Amino acid sequence: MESLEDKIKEIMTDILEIDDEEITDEFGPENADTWDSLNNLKMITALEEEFKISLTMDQIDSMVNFSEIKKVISNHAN
Amino acid sequence: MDKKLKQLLKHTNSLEELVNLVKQVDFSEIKSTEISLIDKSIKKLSQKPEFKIAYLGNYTIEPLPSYVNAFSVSEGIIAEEYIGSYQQYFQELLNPNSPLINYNPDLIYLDISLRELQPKIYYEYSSLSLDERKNSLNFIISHISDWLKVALNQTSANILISNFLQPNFYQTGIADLNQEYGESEFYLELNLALLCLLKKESRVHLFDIERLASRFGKEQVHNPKMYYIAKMEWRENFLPTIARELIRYIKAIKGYTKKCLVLDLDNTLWGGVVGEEGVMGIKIGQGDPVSEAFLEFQRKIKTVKDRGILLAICSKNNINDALEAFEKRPEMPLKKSDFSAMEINWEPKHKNLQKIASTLNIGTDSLVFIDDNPAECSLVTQMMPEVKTILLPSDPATYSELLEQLNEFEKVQILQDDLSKATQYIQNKQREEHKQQIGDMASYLESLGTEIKIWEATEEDLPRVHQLFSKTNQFNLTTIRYSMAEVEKFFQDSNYDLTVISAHDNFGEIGTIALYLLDLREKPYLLIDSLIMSCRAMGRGIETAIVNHLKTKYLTNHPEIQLSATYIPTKKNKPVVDFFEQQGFEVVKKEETGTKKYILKSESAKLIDSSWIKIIA
Repeated sequence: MESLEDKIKEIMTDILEIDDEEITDEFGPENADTWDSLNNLKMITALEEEFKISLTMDQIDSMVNFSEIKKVISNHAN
Repeated sequence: MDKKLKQLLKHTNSLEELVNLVKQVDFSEIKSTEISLIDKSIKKLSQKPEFKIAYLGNYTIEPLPSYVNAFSVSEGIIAEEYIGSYQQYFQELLNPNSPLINYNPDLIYLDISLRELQPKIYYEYSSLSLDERKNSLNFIISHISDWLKVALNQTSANILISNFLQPNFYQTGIADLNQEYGESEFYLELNLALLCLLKKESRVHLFDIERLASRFGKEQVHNPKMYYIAKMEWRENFLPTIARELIRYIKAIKGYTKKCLVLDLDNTLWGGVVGEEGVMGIKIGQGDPVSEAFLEFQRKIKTVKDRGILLAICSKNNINDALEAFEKRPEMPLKKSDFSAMEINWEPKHKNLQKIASTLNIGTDSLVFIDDNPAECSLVTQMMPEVKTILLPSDPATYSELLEQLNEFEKVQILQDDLSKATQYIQNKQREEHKQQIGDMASYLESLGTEIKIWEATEEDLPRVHQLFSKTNQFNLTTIRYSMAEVEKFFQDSNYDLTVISAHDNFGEIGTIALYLLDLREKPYLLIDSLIMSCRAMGRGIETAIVNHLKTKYLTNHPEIQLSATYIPTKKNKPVVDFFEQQGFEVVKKEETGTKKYILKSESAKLIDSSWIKIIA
């Protein structure tokens, strides 16, 4: 089974076109040119699809780096 | 999508491999990341796009093109996008050096969100006066009409414009429908006015997103959250529906329409096996659910025929059993006479499909074949991959919808000529029988009583002219696929002679079957840019009569004039490889590619006998 973390990383690497080693907890828009507003939307859509959830606007707003994304998604998963 | 397929897609570097990989993708359950992955793989190949689309609008339209590109490539078409700047669809057209104009798109797709264009209507309809409502409608229509004028002027693209969605809930609730000029009435009138505006222009079409949204489920098409965050009008899940509709337009505009629907009989046109259950035992008509399902399927097939698609039968059966079914079951909507070709025998189906194609004088790649037998379908797919083969699922209840989902029979416009096509093929069969009775060719041609009419194309002829340019493969000397805009240009420009030819004979009307385009710019050196004739008119000397007409019109009494011509070989125009030689043209250059250039001087121009063809005014 893929862990939740792996699944998030896969979405981020696919959309941002980066290697998963680059993704640390603090990894955010300032670490990748490709993390622009459009790709941010794509990540939200992909996360919602992958985990079959609907994120609230507040949650989306808080997802500013990898660790925050993990936090939001795992809260949903529980 | 499994990991392996994903990796292969990521790393493919050939178009052929990519198309094959994409064909393995199950699009019914695809995720947005997988769509992006396919789109990225296409872009990495840096192939020259076959179809360029400019997406314009006043909301965030960016997520749509990757769906269109991914679906296109699954059909073997490389599409590419230009995305207009947010809200700039007017400015970008007016500036002759804008990226949009430089992109030179084949298709412009304009989708305007009403909440951006007329927020008053969207949010405050109930507080507007009657005048304000009507003025707003006029404003929207003239806004689009103004844009359209510029777009037609500045580009040669086909243009699609979306209509507007009726709201899911009226501001005044159910009372809206009883009010004077309520919201519901506003949207109906707006969409009708838009339809009437766009119908006038042959390269402009209404994109009926209102119908698409209804089909999809209107409660699901918007995602308020994404609109507030990013001005995205449509929910991601709705994008595939929009994209699939755009593919219908791409295929229709490119002329990738199939020409013939070939059907099996037992358990395809009716339930059961006629050879076993007998004519009265097969299930078709009213009375039981299975019979009704086949009845509806036949009715749907008939509507396909009414679009100008030919029907044919390819069935393993005793021909007498099969024909008896058509005679003795009058409740069948499809009659024997609806089919332009029939191969009912025990030969392998791929051979019969070949025969059907040659009877109808079309390529096997113009066939769609529907059968309920997996073994037959798989054999045909293997032997003739160019035929679009469809295996019917086991439940006949699904057949009618399956036929509607097909995008193989789309045309942007159905012309008079399309509608009479099936009759014309049937007349062709009668001509063929007549030919066999008469025996020798000369008396046969004479007995047909062919008459042709030749005239410079008028505005009404242009859609048919465009169709001949885009769909004729065999009798096409240069196979240049001109767009509707180019056709319009030739029509208006006196430096070109665009002439069309229609024909009829003792068996009936053959329709507008040929055209030539003469480039007069280098007078006295005239160039036959294009010479095209529909395959159903071939083989009776009409082509010779047309060239005789050209010789008479331009060369007789004009010693200074010289006609030049070109033959460019394609996979399909073998039948005319020596056409100009036969018409007395002199080969002046033969290229390695097989392209030949010809001239014909006035002094050496002789008319070639085509006396059995009568030219009428």
